[in-house]
Amino acid sequence: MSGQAKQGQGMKIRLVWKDACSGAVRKPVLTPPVAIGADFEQLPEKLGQRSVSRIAIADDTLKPFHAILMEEKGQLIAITPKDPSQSMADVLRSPAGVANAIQKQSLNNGDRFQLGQTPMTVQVSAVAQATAAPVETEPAETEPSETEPSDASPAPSSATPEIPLPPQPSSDEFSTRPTKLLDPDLDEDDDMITANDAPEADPNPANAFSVKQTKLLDPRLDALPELADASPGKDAAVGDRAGAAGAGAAVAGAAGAEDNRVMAGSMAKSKTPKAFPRDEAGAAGAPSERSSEKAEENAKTGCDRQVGFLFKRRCGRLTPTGCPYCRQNNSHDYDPYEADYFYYEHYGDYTVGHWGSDYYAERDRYYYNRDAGRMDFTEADAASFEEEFDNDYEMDMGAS
Amino acid sequence: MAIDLKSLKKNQSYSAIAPVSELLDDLNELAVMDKDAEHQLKHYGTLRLGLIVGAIVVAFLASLFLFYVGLIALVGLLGAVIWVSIQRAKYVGLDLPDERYQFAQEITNLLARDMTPEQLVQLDVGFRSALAAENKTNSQPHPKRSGWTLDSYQHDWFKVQGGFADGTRFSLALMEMFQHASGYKRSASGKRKYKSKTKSKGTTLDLQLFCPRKRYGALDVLRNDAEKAVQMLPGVRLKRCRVTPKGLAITLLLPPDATASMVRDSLIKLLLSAYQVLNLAQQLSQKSKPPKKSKKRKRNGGRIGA
Repeated sequence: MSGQAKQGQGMKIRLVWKDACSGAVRKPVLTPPVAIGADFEQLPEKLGQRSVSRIAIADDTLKPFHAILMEEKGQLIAITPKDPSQSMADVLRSPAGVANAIQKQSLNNGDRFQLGQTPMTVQVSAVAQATAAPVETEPAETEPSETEPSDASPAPSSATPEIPLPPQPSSDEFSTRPTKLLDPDLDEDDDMITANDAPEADPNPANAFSVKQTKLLDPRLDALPELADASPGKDAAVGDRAGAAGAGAAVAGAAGAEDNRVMAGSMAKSKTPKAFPRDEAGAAGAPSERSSEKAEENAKTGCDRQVGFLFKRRCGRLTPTGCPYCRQNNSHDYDPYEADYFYYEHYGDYTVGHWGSDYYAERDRYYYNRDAGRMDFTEADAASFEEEFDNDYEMDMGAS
Repeated sequence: MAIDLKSLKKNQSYSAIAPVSELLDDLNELAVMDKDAEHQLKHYGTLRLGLIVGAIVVAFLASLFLFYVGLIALVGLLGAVIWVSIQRAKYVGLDLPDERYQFAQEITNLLARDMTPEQLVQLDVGFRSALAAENKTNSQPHPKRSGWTLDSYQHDWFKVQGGFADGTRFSLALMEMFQHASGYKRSASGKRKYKSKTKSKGTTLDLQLFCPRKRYGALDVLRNDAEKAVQMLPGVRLKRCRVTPKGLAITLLLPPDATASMVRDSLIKLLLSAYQVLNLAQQLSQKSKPPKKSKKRKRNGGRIGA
């Protein structure tokens, strides 16, 4: 096994983004390569022989298969098509060769980039990269079994497509900015969702993934030992579609991971990102620079916080004046309507055992034809029709 | 927005189409007016009572001692009583049932959570008694008591219409139902007395949502199961739950002893129930890719159960 394989095994990345619909902040820990797009089913399960972590984001501006994040020589690389009209699936099938059709951008820890309309922050496990070399010297201990769909089994050099690295081009669509963590949430100890903790942690399907109280995957916080178990082969798909407006992102594990996306938590429990900088009373430990940056950002684009009672939407306020969410020292956990969600048990929860779970589980099969203004025939309908075909109507006395 | 006092006094109702902020201002103004009216009524009532007592005392004294002086004082006091009564009558129409505008304030605030500030809302709040003549819907002989009549009243004193930020139009109406039985009753001594009895038959809470099809196009898929999503307080019955491709309508029947807080809680449950359905419909609608052909369909040559 090559050294690169070991590096790939060691590198963990954490992508942090905010679901545009539900407002929930997603923070899955993943092992590269990571395929990102709008359609989960069009994301590849494998690249060569390497298992791929898949992330589907509900963003109309994203292509079904938009980009790949992969590790190359210990460096995290983002790969997107050169031609904005193409998706990565087209590029990988391109007869002219992959190398000329893609652009690469290196990503460092804390970089913020944007896919479609979804801004993301990547946190790279620097500790993992540093420990990659010692792992390389002990192949016997890290050799995975061939049957396990772990990303560590094949060497990425042989498994991934041969993609020479051109100089980093600039792209309007996919721009990286080596910035600080712009979201103040990221600096706080926060709930971290590790997808593969779910089955062991809580058998209750309503809580299908566990929420571990750990530090962020940040070199400054030395949190890697607690996060290192996020292997893509075991990753369960996680879709925290919190509640009413919960159009969400489905974060899936690598190949073989069952598409058992569940929505966890109720609307009342969903966290909303902080909008306006805290005032002095609430600014415990928050750097003033960041607050002023956020204030400037809000002044231009309006508040990013997800607000609303029945359905969540972007706040968009330019000032916190009169905002019911900004009263309690601008705490990002504060939801003025939280108490009212208790009137409806499991509001926004469509997991197994709750109302709508059957529809929710099959939601990918429904197709609303906006042009025709009706629900179109789907695979699910086909299955039900075929069941009818199989019936022997002569034996069915109730049939007309 | 200025409140038309004449109309309010005459019709005993408040009706306006305005943004929520203006409606809330109006309702606050109504509350202030009501408190002022209550204060003035109490003040003039006490004054009138004092004048009447004074007039009686003066009349008594005048009959004993100074007849003419007492008569003049009595006329003056009676004039003062009339003036005070006129002044008091000015505020009678402004003494509104507190629970009505307070309920309207609460519900408007509740609905405003998901509305844009500039969204126009039509609000109608009635302050008349439920047993007003215009609310009578039916009158029939009492089935059990001969000579008695049984009148039915329906009083829809609260109605609000508007739109949420997601493009959904809503219409919410509250209707109280009463039965009023009246007639003459003969006592054991043979006297005939007019008796009446009013009985509440419950309150209906009717919510209608007209949804944008682009966002909630799959609503029709949930037609058969939407009813199960409705959660209610104990004692509340689901009267109607109808789902169409364009929206849904849910009607709850609250028990006769429902308090204002129970109505409010039921309404919150009702809204959350409706949006539990709509949010799932949105989930099902948001996928805009064409359906994939299933393997089974290929095996059957693409036949679709015709």
